[in-house]
Amino acid sequence: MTEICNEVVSEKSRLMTAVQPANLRRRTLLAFTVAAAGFAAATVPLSAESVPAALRRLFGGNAGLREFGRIFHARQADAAARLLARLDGLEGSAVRSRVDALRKEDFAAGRVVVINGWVLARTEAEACAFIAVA
Amino acid sequence: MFADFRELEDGLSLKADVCVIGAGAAGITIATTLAGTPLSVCLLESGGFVYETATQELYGGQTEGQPWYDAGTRESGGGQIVPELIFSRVRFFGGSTNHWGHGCVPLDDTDFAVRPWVPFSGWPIEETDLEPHYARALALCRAPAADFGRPPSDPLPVDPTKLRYHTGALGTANFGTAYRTELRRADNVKVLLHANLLELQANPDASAVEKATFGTLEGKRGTIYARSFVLCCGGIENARLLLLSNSVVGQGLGNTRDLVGRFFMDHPRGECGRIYRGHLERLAHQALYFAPQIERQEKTLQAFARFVDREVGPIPEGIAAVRKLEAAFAARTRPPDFAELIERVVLDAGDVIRGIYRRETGSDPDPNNYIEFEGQFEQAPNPESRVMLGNEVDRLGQRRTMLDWRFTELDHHTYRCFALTIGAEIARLGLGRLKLPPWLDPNSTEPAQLGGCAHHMGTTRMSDDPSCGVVNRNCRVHGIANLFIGGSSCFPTGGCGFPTLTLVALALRLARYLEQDLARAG
Repeated sequence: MTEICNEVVSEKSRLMTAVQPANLRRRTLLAFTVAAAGFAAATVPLSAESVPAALRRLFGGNAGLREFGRIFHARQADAAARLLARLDGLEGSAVRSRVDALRKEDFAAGRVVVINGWVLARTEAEACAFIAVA
Repeated sequence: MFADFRELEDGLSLKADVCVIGAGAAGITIATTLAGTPLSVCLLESGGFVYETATQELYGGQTEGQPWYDAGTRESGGGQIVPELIFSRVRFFGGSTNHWGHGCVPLDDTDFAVRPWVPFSGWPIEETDLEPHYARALALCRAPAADFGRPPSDPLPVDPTKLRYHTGALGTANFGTAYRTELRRADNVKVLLHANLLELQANPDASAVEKATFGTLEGKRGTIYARSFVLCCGGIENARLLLLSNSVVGQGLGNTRDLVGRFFMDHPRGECGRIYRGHLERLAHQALYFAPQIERQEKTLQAFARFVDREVGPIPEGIAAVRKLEAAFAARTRPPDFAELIERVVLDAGDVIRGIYRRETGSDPDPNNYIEFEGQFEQAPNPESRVMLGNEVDRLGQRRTMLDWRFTELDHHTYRCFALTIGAEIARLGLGRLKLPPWLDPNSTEPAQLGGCAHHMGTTRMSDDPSCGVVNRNCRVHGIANLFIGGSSCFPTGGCGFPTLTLVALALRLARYLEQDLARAG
């Protein structure tokens, strides 16, 4: 926990403190960040490399994702923390798989949010919030 | 037999067992059903056999309320599209079946039931009351017998608790031409063209209609006496004509409880978003309905979605040529302009390569290529949504329509809930991502940017309780022994599909009732 907090901005530090992840290590966080950036890929049957980039472009690129995140963070300040709590103990590809599973569960359960007109899974919005505050 | 009132004497006086007013889907259904029975039938029609501007213009009126009402539109001098009641229905023999979408979908048990979260919902009859008439109604609409729950051949694997398929049938009948010969040959049916109803005149205590007066635009006037009168002039005109029939009862016939004209409904329809990326070709031209489970769970009205392939802007010549070549090759033919098409592909290589790259990789979102998600909705019954008499007067000296179309919070809740459900399902299935228009944002206060379908309903709604409806379960106006209403103005709720099949089934049921009722009376 101390190891991570020393390396992130104060906002993230607040979030991490809020969720108190016991085993969240630096590479977990890095893996999560990568996964979050490409969160929307899984159900689009295209190559793993191209699809996240394509969807990022659709949503306005990395800047667009950060904007989504800022908007959602303003609505729900604990959004990123909620997601981190659900990813606790995971690392590497497991983070990405979990994020993907969560977003599918969100869509199936109708847990969606609207940001700039786009209908996003709540997990997607939380991931954007994480990117925005990271 | 047919007659044109313009060619008959002024002061014409007629008698019939049944006087049907309005030769659209409902009126023609009743007249053809009664053809060959011992009853004498007179069918009055405002127009002739073809469109006439002066007659159509009688539909003119004013609108207020929901600003996007698409009751019919015209282009103003400035290029702006403005709503016009005049064009929302068709006023000559055959009525609006002269120009209809041909969609035939029955209502189902959900429509007839009381839904506690939908105020004023519930019909006094059940699906089983109309079910025997639907088969004949399909035949009259010249639609094939259909399995309405059948999904398409390549259905999307949607969650059945949220979305469902509800296939329709296409009715090809233009009632004005389809049944003209049959009516011409019917000895007991007289069709009087260019006969505009002026008033249904009641007896002194307004317990029955004694006679109807009618006239031509040129000033001829006539009278018809009948044992029963059936008003079949559409969801707006039925209410207007009752309100205009006010020489005995000041507020209009059947309107002692101020219900005539209220509860006006249409099917709000319009673009509810755009879907980008994913398998757009799988979505195009699909039609999905809200599932009853989610309607109950989320307390919504009914809704259905169509997905329309859109391509904005000019298509580059090279890409157009590639498409023609692909189509020809798929059909194993060689297009006659093969060399020219190849030349266009070569000369427009840049666009062609970009297009192929986009298609093959899906990696470059094309903002001009999307699927439009069009929603069509049931409207909540609302007493404040209503047809009234305006101050303007038509060529017959009758007050024109004032239409005030209004939505409720339940309507808006349904639009948002349906849009989010569609967005979640298509994303879950990897079919694309939905972007909503600003008015559908959950925090928006903008009015719904939806138009109507010219499916006018509800203005003489059916209820066993005279304080809740204008007509009873047999479509008889409460308190008036011999006045009946045919058409979708009797619908207490209208579902989200096309009303024609149900209004024809209801008209068939009414015709049988009239036949039995008048036979009983002797």
